[in-house]
Amino acid sequence: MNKKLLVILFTLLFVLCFTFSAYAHGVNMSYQGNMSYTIKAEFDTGKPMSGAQIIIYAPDDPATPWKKGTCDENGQYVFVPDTSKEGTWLVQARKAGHGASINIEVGEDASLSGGTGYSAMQVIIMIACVVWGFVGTALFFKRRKN
Amino acid sequence: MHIPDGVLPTSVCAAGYAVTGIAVWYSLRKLNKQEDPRKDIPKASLVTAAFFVTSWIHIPIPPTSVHLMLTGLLGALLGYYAYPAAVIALFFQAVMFQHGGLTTIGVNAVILGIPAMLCHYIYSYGKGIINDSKVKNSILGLIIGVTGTGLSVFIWFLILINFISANLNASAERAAIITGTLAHVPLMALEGVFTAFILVYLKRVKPELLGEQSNENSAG
Repeated sequence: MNKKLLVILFTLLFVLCFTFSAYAHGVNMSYQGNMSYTIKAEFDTGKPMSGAQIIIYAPDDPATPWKKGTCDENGQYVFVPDTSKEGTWLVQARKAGHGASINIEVGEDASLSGGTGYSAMQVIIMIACVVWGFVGTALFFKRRKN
Repeated sequence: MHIPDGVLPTSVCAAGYAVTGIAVWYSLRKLNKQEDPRKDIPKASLVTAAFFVTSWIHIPIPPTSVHLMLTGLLGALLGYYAYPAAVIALFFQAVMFQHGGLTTIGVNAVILGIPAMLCHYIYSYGKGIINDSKVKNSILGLIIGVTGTGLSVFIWFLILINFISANLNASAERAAIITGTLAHVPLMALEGVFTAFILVYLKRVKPELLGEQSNENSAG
């Protein structure tokens, strides 16, 4: 393999390894509840999304907010859904162009907890797969040229 | 810096896709005019991988956090490959990690791709008037890094501040956007230094990666 290309690959690998100890900048949401639901919004860093605006949509009217609120300093918000409205409730968290949404089932299919996001190992494997795809593409066209 | 789904109105998302479509068409047209359009695909692929990974490198700048964007470096290294590379990286980031969103790929590509294209032009012009001086190349890298990130942040700010959802508390969201924008000012300086370092390093160890030949072709 071309020595200089190898240097580039090692540089890329270094960046990837550095990433393993670093964090992302997306938003994860989770909930726990029974009669009332506690929403938690946080960045991928684990930092709470304090002050994030929460918008809740009921299943019967997904276009009009059923309730609005603001997360506390821990990125948490508690609400009690109207149990007469069974189905999928949509909860959105928004702050400065960042945000996430989560669906909460209320009624027969209700779940006591749920969330978005991936574990660290899942993220590492997914990043590695995508990067390998790019590296494979580079190697393919490099080979073609030779 | 990745705007997720549901934040912007449909018309803005559509406009983003329209601008991105034109920019990608223009880029591919320019690439197709090169003697060997496939020559730089390996480089483009590896730089796209680095660009994809850097969205996971988090830099805490209180009260928020930012991540490297590499907009200037993307433009200087890839030239007309920069915009398609940004679109591909944004697609994978949106699909696999929900960084950004599928409806906002066009807008996010505008935020990153247009400054990258501008940086390509600045670099192409700049390297033509400077010699091999390490200091001058560092200054050029600094200018590209600061300009790329600064322009990206500026476009991001303009889009968000002008299209705040009616369902949000506008004043609170506006304050959060301004805070987020100011948090990116140190990142501009950091990106400038990082870009200068990488460009000077590549100029020394592998100047072909800076694509002088391909840039000359693409400028025509």
